[in-house]
Amino acid sequence: MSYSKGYHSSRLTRFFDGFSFKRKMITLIVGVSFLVVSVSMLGSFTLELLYFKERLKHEYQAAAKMLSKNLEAAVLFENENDCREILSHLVTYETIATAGVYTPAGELLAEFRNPSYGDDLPVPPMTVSESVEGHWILLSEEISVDDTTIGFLVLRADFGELLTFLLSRGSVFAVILVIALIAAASLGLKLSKFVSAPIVQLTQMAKSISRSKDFSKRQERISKDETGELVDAFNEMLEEVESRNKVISANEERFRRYFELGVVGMAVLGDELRWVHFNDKLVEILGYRREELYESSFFQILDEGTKSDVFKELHGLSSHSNSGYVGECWLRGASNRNIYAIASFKGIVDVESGRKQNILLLQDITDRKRHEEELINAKEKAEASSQAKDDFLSIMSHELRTPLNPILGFSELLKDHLDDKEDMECVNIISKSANHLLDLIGNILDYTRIDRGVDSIEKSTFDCVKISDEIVTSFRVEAEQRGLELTAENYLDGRLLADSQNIVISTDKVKLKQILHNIVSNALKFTNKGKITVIARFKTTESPRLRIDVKDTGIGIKEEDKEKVFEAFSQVDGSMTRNYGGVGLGMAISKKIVKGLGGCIDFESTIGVGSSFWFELPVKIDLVETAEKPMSEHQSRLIDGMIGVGIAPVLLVEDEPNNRQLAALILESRGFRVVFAENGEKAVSLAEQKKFGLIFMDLQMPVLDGFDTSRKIRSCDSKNFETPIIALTAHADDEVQKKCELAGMDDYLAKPFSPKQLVEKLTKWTSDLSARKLDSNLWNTEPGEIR
Amino acid sequence: MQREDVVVVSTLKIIKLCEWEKGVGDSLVIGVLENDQYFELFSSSVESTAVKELFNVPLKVVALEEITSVEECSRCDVIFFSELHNLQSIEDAVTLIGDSPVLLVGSVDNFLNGGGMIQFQYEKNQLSFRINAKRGRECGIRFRSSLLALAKEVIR
Repeated sequence: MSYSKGYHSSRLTRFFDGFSFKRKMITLIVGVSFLVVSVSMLGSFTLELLYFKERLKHEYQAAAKMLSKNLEAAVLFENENDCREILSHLVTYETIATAGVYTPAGELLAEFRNPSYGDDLPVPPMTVSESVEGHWILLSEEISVDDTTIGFLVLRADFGELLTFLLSRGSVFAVILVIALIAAASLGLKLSKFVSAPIVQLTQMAKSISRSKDFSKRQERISKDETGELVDAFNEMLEEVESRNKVISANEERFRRYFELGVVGMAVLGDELRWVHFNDKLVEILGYRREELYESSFFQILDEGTKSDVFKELHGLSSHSNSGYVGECWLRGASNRNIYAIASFKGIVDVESGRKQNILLLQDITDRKRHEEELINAKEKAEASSQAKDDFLSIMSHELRTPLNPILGFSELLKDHLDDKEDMECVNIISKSANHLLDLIGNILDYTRIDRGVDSIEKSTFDCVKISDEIVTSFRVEAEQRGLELTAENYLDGRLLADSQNIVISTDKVKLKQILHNIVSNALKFTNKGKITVIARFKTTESPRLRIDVKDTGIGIKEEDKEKVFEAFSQVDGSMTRNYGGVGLGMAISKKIVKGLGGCIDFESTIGVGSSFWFELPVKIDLVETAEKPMSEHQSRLIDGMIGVGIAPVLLVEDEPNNRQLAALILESRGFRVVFAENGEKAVSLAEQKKFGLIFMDLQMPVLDGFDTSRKIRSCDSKNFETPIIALTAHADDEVQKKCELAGMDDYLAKPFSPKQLVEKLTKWTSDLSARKLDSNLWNTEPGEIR
Repeated sequence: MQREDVVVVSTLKIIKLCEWEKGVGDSLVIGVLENDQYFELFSSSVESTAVKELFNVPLKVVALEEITSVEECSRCDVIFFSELHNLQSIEDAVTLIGDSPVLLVGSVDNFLNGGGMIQFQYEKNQLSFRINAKRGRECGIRFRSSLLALAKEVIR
């Protein structure tokens, strides 16, 4: 039996603990009886003894006192005979053996001897106090007259009577004690049988159940007291155990079936991950015979490459932790077959042995793994293919745009030098065709980028009114040439916007311009007479939105053709392509962009009356009051066309001779001095020697490309580390723009560019050049470098 | 020791065993005739240490010239009558004293008949005494039982 901590059992308690319940009860009752009887008897005996002794003493004292009174006169007159005679009356006291009468001086006056005690017994000596000698008590009584002591009477009395009393009482006590103990033992025996019988039966029942594991047995209740309640509690406990056993058995059976019928391999692993139990599925997965598995361990079938990792994970796995280990690993099956599997481990403790074990779930995913590898290969191939496509598009874009640059540029320049009407018409056709081709290439590239999801949204804050004005302005010349009226209106929450008010919105500026350009371009394309109105509505209440309507008085769209409007590569009918040009990508691109910006686009159209295309975008809107800026001196000079006069030379880095020639013509026609570099290396060399006002940088060049060239120029020791660098490239996508920015370039101009676009960039970046303090060396250029 | 000495000592011991109902004064006064030889004996005895230790109150012995006045008798607690007194004079004195609490001790023959309370007498050379307890009770004097037990004759 174990005791709780802090419980200190004495040896007696431990000894008593070893007794049976019956023996304990008998011992307890007999012990208590013995104690009670002994204490009560001893108490009674002690009291009686004391009383008896006191009474005896008082008796002797009374006799002595009485006798001393009688002796007064005899002692006073020292009459020995009288004294003796008086003392002789003591013979009536059987227990008074001798007596003596003494004068105060201690002289014996008379004595008495009880014949029954013989003559040998001495007369008690003179004493003035009570004393005990053996079984004798000596009592002294003063003889006095009127408080004057005239003598002493000393008695020797026998306490033998007391001994007799002790013996008799002791005998009675012993007899009573024996009887009491016998009675107690008898009672204890009967009582213990009565009390312990249910407990003994209960114990036997518990042992029987423990042996047979039959929890359906029940103990009969034979008493109504606490033992009966104990039996009831025991039976309830048995019912609970039986009920739980049924649940456990059912669960066990269920889990056993799961185990056997499991779709994954299941196993219990013992020490060193040796197989203890496993199901058929595991045997099927691994392909070994059962006997072979029982003689091996999980480690033995683990692939060498993953063995150490799995071992490390399993080593730290606690049997009490809820966490387990799940990992994928290669296993070596029968006939050296490679199996790729998901192995899930969970630590447990074996209930019977208390040893740590692991539950293993093994799922064969070899096929999946192979499919995954195939998919990965396919994906990699697809990505490579996609990359090749991107590269192709990029190259195509570059290669198509590059020759268009001189075509468009020189066409524009030619217009300034031709006087003949027919020649001018020819140049216009060249220019128009080149622009058409450029739009076509641009649309196809845009659509492809958007369709592949590589086109990202770059939000910025800008003046929206200015954007719509710019679009209208850009199409106004063409509209006027065709006799069309093109106007723009701006409304803020239903009210017409004043000229001094600008609306700053936050969205993708480039894409907004592209949408608007496409719709206005479309409206212009299909309107032969009347007008086109661009209406921008800014709504600041509730959810801020921008809605732009482009209304035209064009040919309109038939009801049955409306659904084709936003489809790619489709126009209402084939004749349109012939009549109006285009491949039908503009509206499809616009719809995709609007959708990408979280907005919606639609139209209303009536055949023969006109169309109204609109789109709506969620934007942040701020109203800004602006004052009209006066035109700067340099901007005035732009109009005059000689903005380069007095400005530091421009470095043009370009490997294509035609482009160099075109740019030189445009720049020089505006008064700029131009220094050329055929590649990046030469550009870097020139930038190290001289300070330039502006640098135009082609990106795709031999020896050193435009990005690295810009980075080198931007190095701290370069004289041109602050000089604006404008990228010139036929790679017209956002990614290239970002790369330019990262390389340290300030702006971007896509090829092909028109003289006007080039001048606009020059105006933008040289507007403050005149204010700069330029190094005088800038003007000291070597012959042949500057044209 | 002379007979007179024994009588004096015995008288003093008897006085010790007697009780005056009304008590005695500051001292216990013993009256003896002036010209009597007992006067000297009593006077010397009361001065002895043994007698002083025996009594709680001091003993005083006074000499009586004649027993003729009540005043003279009443200042005594004990009056001792020796053989010098005749019975007639004793009876006169008893009559004079009346029932006053005065212990009358004497060694005169028929002393008890003459109204005395304690009478000594020698018989066969041995001193004994007789007590008239009745007369003592009448005068307010009690005798201890142990004294009575020693008396040869007690008149109750």
